This record gives sequence, structure tokens and C-alpha cells, in this order.
Amino acid sequence: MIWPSHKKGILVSIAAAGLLTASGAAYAAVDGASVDRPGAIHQLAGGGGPQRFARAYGLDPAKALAVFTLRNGQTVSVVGDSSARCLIRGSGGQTAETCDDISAINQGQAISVLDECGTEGRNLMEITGLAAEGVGVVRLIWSDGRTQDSVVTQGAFRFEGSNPAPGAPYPIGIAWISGGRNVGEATFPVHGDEFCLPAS
Amino acid sequence: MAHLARSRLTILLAAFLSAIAVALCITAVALAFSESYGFYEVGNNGYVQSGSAHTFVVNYGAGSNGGRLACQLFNSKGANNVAHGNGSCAVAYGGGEFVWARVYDQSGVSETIGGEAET
Repeated sequence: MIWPSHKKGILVSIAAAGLLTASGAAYAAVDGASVDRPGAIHQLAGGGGPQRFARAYGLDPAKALAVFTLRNGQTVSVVGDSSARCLIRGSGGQTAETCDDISAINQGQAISVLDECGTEGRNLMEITGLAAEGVGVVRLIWSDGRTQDSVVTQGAFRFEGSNPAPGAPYPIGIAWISGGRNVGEATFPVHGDEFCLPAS
Repeated sequence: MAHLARSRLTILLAAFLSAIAVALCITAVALAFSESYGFYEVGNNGYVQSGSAHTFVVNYGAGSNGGRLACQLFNSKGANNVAHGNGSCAVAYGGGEFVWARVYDQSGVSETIGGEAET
């Protein structure tokens, strides 16, 4: 994780699922950064029903604003307030959410990389996420140095392509672009050899 | 008289439609299935998996240390969707086939991970 120096050392965030809980804060290291997280796993174990992650932050999924429709047909919507935001991917009446508090979003923690590894023969890859506050463009950085930009809409961004073949260049992270300047970067929650996991 | 008859017809129609709506809701609840699995410690690159394949359409995962995770829905017939996230993950699959659900620990260290898959 790379971030302006004044941010370093105060990387306090909450699990990407947006699972606020009063119990059992865990202390862990993510990509070298110290992260103080609540017990996300306890929230999952406790059930909670559809869209539990958004509701765990006190957000109403019914108020989510539609932002994108991905090539795979999934819809992307966003709901948030001054302290937290959720990106909700919808498909066939089901939802998959990425939620976080604002500080974690600013660190690039609310990014999801989805690989459709051979499903329907399409090998699609969708990268969706919530952008840091004030950022107008998100720049995708590839392992071969290539970049591509996505304009932020309602605080969300997307990149769509194909999942990388073994040995081929792969996306490694993003840069936040504001006023034409790089104001921060974050690595992806997937490394080069992890894009498509075994189906056996 | 005609007005009264129309009112009764409207009431009967509303009651009928309400009954259908309630029946549909009960049916949907009865057909829904979810499985919670894992919630024990695995090593880096280890995984937890659902007890059986089902027509899962979404799979949520979470870990105890907030590190990188991958959620997967897959089968041997070519379905294989994987979502990577920090601290948690969620993957959807709309193919309508029986698929297994997994959550991988990719945090670099051992951690407790768990998943919940829903039809």
C-alpha cells in the first residue's frame, strides 16, 4: 500500500465487508500496513440475511443509486453516508456487496476483482470499487507498466476485460488521480498467480 | 346497487391477490437454502468449502485478520467464478447449476476463515 506520508502510520480501517461490530477487534497486517479491524468473521458467522453488510453500517440498500451495468449483466449501485459506503453488485435478485468506512475506502481497501474463469467460455474480469474522496479518475496499473483510466461515477469505478492468461501481464493496482495528479495508490487483493483458482 | 357490487368485487379481488402474494413469499422462503461453512483456522492458500454442491448464486467469505481473501463458486462443468477482496469477499454465479462454494485465505499467514453460500 502506498499513500501520502501524512497518512502512513494511521492506516486504521475496517474490513472490506463493512462489518461494523463492537466486539473483538483484531489486529493484522495487510501488505505491510497495520490495520485495526473489527471481527468481520463474527458478523458473517452470525448470519444477518441479504445485504447484511450494508445494513451493518446502518445503510439502507433500498436507497442505493444505480451506477453501472457490467458486461456480464450485473448491475452496480452505490449507497453511503458521511462515514461509510457500499458498492452493491446485483444479479438475478441476489447481491454481492463491498462496503467500508471512508478511511478504508481512501486506502483502496474497497476494491473487488472478479474473475469468470471459463464460466460460459468468456473469461471475463471485472474490477469494481469505491474511489477515495475527491478522486475523479482511477488509473489501473498493469504489471508491464501499462495503464488505463476510468472516470469515477457516484464514487464508484470499474474496469472490464479478460482475466490474464498464465504468464501474461496482469493488473497490480490502482492510482487515485485528482486534478491530473497522482494522489495515492493501492495494490489489488489478488496477486499474479491467483487470478483463476483451481476448480477441483 | 351496482356500486355496492363493484366494491365487493374489488375487495374480493384484493383479497385474492394478497393471498397469492403471501403464498409466493412463503414458497420463496421455503425454497431458499443457505449453508454456513468453515470458521476454522487454515494456512496461507488454504481454503474452507461447503459440505456439498448446491444451486448457489452467491458466496460470502470473511477472515479473522482482515487480509486478502478469495471467494469461489465452481463445478467440474466449467463454472468457476472467483472474487478477490480485502478482509471479505463476495462472488455471484447466475448459471443455475450445482456449484461448490469455497473461501481461500490469501493473507500470507494462517487465519480463521468462513463462508456462507446462498441459493
